Amino acid sequence: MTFDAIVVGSGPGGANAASALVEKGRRVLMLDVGDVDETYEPLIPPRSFREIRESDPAQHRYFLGDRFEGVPSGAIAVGAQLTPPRLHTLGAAARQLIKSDTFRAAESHALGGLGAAWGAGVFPFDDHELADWPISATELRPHYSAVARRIGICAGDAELDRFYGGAVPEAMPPLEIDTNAEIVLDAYRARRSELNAEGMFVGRLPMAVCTESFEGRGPQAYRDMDFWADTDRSVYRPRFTIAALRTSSDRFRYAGRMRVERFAETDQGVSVTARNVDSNALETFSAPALLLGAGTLGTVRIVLRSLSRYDTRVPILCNPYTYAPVLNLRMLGRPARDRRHSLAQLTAFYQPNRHNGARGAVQTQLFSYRSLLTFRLMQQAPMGSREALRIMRALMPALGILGINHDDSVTSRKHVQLKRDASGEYLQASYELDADERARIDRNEREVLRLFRKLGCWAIKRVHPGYGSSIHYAGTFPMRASGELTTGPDGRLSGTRGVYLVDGSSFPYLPAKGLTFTIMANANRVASALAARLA
Amino acid sequence: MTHPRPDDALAREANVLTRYLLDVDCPADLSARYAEAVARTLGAGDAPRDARVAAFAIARQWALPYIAAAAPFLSGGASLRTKLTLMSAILETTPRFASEFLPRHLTLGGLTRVVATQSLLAALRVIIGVPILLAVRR
Repeated sequence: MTFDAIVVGSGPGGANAASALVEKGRRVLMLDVGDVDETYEPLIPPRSFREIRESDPAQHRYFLGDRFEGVPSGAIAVGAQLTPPRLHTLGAAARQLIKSDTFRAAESHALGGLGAAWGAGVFPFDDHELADWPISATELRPHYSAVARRIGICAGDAELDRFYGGAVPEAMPPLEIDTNAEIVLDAYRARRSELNAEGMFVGRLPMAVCTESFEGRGPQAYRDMDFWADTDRSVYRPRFTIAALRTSSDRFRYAGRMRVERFAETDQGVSVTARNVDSNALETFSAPALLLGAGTLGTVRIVLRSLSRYDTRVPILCNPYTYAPVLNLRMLGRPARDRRHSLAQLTAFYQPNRHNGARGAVQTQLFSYRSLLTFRLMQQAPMGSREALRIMRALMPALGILGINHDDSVTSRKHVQLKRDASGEYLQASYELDADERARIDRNEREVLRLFRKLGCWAIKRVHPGYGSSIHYAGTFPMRASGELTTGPDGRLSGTRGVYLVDGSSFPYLPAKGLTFTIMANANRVASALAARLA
Repeated sequence: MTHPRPDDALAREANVLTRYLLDVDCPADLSARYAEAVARTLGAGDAPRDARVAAFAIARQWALPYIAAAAPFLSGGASLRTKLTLMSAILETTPRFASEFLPRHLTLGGLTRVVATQSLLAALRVIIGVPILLAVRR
């Protein structure tokens, strides 16, 4: 079969780009490494976290890992929150190809890319956040709708609609929240006016989770096992889109175990060279158009190698991220329901610039510490393990974690380059915040934690896991009207005729929101327009 | 999955750590799992001073609670803390001990008693444990 387009990568961008192309009648070849977990997820029964804990003799295998890879040691690493069934998302092989003293980068070769372990938050960007894009929010909005219809989303609270430029479309009923979050939300509602005046808004986020049956998936079963398995398939994973394409369309072909190395433009289109990761053999594929959705770091490697731009610095963006364990004082002495999901229960936006209309809102998610294991808390406690166990199991119903995300803009201190020396080829990343950025982040975090204290949540400490640890990478070929090593409004890489970027590489600015839903919408936009031109 | 039989030293070690954590003996299957965890996690990479501290604490059960309490605050306790983490993880992911690690619903009064008692114990054990750890790690 000849193909109209080659899509590299099966992550959120690649999956939705491929889907848009196929839906519009184009023939698509997807090249992807496609690592999967064949060891642990098959072991996990469709039961609740507590039921498993109390009854499954094999639980140690998927909770700890056969090599005890689920028992962390040493400094907090990128992806420390990943459980053994999800560790394949950040494969060790991928990590070796990036060097940095200041940026804790990670790539994914998983089927579904980083979407195999994402938190499913649905965050459309608003007009402010798209101000640096050479396209308008109006142009992107129908693509948010298209993606929502494709992946299935549930609604959030209208309280947060102001941060999306309007209500999120086509949503199922919202997820239930747990006891801990109910108490926080009640506290917020009792002081809403006061907190809004201080710039804080709290509510449930729209999520890419099915709360009703949707195309053979879901509904969310509230087993509190979302960090470990997809037994109810309610949380969207890009591999569901890939599987649907493989079974339902003869216009789509998936070629796994293929790591794309380079492309070259020819008179007929684009020639792509890929290496089979199992046999090490090289293969070549051709099509009129190439869509790169290999993830920001994967795409930057492919592009710079293909253009022979070694030692050329390109910018990189990543949301600075801090997490804070918190104690919800209002939960002390109250029973907590076991029926819950494991994802973010609530989201809070804090607007430090609400008086001058500038962007830079801080986004914080509240997780309850339930379906993670107690030994991890004991490990962090400044006391003996025996005392830590007894205190932690008593306090756990009231324990939460705040994940605080900040926005990021391009500066000269944040860059990545492709290097080649005697040791081989690798990416070199450097990421530093200037004094103003560090001060702003610290000030905003202190304010967020102060505001959460008003809701009864007291932070025990702040943990900075290092730049890069949010694994929200973007901005290496930012979208501009023109310029070298940029992306045009149509998603095309500058200087090329038929190479398009459909992951975070093309984002010129990162708001504090998760970027995955916007990656999917932009991929749908780029691919839909391309499909029309290829017809 | 089967695990290799632990040697006697590691079986004793697993038992000492389990008694410290839960006041019960360590079942044989969990001893084997612990031995494998130690081999995979610590292997030959244990710093001599840290290994010495861990060996001292495990050989002298009276000292273990105090050295474990002081270990988060001083260097030299990393190996012991790693072993305790491994043993805790293994016990936690076993159905017969799950209830020891799952969240407990306590009334506010009960919660206050537990936190106050354990915090006081923790503090006392740190005070006693610091000089012991300093002496052992020399």
